[in-house]
Amino acid sequence: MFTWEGGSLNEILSIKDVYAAYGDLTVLERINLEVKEGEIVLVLGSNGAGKTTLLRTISGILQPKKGQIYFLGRRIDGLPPYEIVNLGISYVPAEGGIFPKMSVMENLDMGTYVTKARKKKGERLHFVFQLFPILRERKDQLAGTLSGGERRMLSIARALMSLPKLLILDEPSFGLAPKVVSELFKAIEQINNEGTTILLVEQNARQALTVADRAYVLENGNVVLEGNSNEIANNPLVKKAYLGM
Amino acid sequence: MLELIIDGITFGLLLSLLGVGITLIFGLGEILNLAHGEFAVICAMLALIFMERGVNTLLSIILGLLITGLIGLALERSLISLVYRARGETRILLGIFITFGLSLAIHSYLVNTIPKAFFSVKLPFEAIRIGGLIIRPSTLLSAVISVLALVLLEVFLKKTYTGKAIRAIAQDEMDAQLCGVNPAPLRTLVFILGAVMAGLAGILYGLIATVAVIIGVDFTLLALIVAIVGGVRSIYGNILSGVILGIVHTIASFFLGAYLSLVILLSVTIIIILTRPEGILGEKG
Repeated sequence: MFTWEGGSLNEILSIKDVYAAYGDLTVLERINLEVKEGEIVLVLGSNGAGKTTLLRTISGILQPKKGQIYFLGRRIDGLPPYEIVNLGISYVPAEGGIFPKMSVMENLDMGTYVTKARKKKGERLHFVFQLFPILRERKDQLAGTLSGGERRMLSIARALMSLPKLLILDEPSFGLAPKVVSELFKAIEQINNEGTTILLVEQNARQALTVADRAYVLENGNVVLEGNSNEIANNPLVKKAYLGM
Repeated sequence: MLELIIDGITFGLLLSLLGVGITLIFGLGEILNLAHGEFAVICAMLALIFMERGVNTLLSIILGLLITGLIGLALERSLISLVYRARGETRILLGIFITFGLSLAIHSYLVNTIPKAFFSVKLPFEAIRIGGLIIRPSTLLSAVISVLALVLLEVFLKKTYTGKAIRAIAQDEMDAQLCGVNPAPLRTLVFILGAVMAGLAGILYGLIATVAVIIGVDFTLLALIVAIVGGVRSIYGNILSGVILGIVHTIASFFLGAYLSLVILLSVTIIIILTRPEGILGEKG
């Protein structure tokens, strides 16, 4: 039977006192973070603050040293990545996230490897092709031949094919031209409107804060600031460090 | 000369069956299976044991393939799964030592228990004449079955979820896990698949020649050469390199003898490694 093990009811993701380390190097120190159903939550932080480590820990690539992670009331820390995907968390890493020697279509097929996603494949394809029309044009091309922006779109589309309840994006705008970045943020809002909760890590704080509901600021593995996007955007520390004002 | 080329292609396709197994096992688990050729011998000897007990030839062969698969399963779950615990370079080295040890163990066991066992299958058909060309039905059958097996493998890898997941792991294991793929059972499956394909190669070699217990090492060596020349991650490259090396080997053996033929094969391998380290098809395969 399904039992609720932790976190309050409308919380989709709840991270409690999590420590994470690479060997002896502690990267996350007692992180607490919540994501509520339907939100876009942004995590800001300078290089080395532990943003990617946080996402890798949630998706199961890295095991936390201490603390608990709950997803829809179920404890997920310690589970391998392939089980976490099956529960409904899709992680799009900053680099990769595609199989370069497979066609675009085969990559999307791999997105539906999760059993419950296979039945809704047609519907989902329609959605991601409407989101990123260029992928339809490139569907028989090898993913390795796509441009940087197209690869990013494909990696997000592949993750969406798994019907995630929570989509985790690591630096989706990294290394992309400004025009592509704007398109991408529009797509992120569209994905959220369609009912998918999003946890987002971004360097591009200005644009990310316009789409996010709430934000956390991470420094040296600690949450130093949290609040709704307006509060965060108007915080003097954030203005100076992340918005260049 | 044309007959030699046909024999070469037939032998080459059989080498492709072996090479593809090495490639898949390496691609999924980073284990360079130095015991691979022994599965060909094990399967042929199993079939021989059944045939000598009066079991029908086809049934003996099917039983041989099945048991070879089961032996593959048992070895993967016991000995080979130890290797997966190590990571990176340690895993590759450990894999080489363990499979080399396994190869020696199987080889010594067979040589000591059934040294005079020879497996071959004679077909009850006359040779076919097309113009001046004489084709043995066993050669033809061996080639057809090899092609069929390779086509089936290709369809499996391209069209099924399991096959796609296997290719995904070979490209990026963590990324495959992020799609929901659990690599462990697929590694087991691929090891069994490799063992059965090697077994099939052993049976087919019994159609065109004779399988003796000592031949496993030769199969392993040739399969390794095919896998390296074909690119250790490329299926198409393996099939192409198998056929090319099969032709070179057959023609060189005919004119220069088996010893010099091996020297030529190894020279070709060295040249290809130096000029095309990714294999003959490069990154594309």
